[in-house]
Amino acid sequence: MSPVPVLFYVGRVPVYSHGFFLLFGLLAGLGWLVIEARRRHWSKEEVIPITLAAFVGGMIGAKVSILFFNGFEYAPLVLNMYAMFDPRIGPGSIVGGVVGGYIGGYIASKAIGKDKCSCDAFAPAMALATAIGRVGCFLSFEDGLGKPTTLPWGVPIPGGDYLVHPAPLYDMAFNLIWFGILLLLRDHKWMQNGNLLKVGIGGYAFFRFFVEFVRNNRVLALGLTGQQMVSALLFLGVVVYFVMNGRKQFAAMQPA
Amino acid sequence: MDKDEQVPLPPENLPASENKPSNFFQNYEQQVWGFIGWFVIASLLAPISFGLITTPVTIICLIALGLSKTRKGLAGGILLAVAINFVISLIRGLSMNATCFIPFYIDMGYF
Repeated sequence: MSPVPVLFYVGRVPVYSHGFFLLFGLLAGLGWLVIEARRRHWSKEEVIPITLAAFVGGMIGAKVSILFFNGFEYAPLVLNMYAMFDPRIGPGSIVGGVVGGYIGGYIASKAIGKDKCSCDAFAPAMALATAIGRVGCFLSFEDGLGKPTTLPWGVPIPGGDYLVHPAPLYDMAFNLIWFGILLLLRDHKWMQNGNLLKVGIGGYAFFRFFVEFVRNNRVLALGLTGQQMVSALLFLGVVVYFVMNGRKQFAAMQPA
Repeated sequence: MDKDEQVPLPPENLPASENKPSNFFQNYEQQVWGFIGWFVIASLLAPISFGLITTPVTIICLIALGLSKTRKGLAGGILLAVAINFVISLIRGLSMNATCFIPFYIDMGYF
């Protein structure tokens, strides 16, 4: 198999697979968010600013996190306004985007004076958007896909006489399954007030920690990549949150 | 009590339209200033700092103004300006080959 950087042409203008699936994934995520927000009767006075802040926070977080993941030599590309909005440089890291999006949404929630979290609507939308976006990563052979493998589903790369892990497809498959699980969990009484979003993020962080072992990202320390370190912190953060607050929250939900 | 005298209702008894959380899109004047101001300041900062402080300044302004009590509208305007730029970037990205933050093993001298 060879990369498919150009998906199709509109007249003479090429439509690249990476940009197409990135935009398609974000639009699909936004569409699902609207459906979920309506289902949860989430008012537009809240959903619009929180979504906008999460979008901007996610985009900035995805880029700024590259400083940590790839090194400070990327500062001119990360901190420069023109590079920030240069589509050729790409969106950045999904892990950084998740963290940035969460921080952005949290600040917006505080800014509008919201005391309870309706942000659970984001959880399945994020999984859906990531699953679709990863198709573009696979077709454009981003980061050389993955590490060499002898597994039967390994993918040949141009210029190499070996097979590599189709890591973006692992991500896509997980996120599709995770999307379904989050849909099943979304009405559970324990999965409200931000808990579904935390479970969604924690689940992805758990998966991402392990899939990083077959990806080509830079190892920072202890044999771990920056993405693995942040994923481990995210997962531990979610676990600590539920241990600290879970019993109190769940007790409050029990009938007297 | 005078018939015309207004007694303020407790917040929970206010009509739904008055009981909404205040958001940073309600103050239109501040919003416009934030929107235009971001373009002006970012354009001024870019050449004098080689663009290296625009992103940190934007992040600090968004957080500080968003959490302030009286300047949320400015944060709303800045947020809209940055979001529009990102949307334009995503649309432009359809016809440009992105290499998602050039992997670290590629020579940065190319850029």
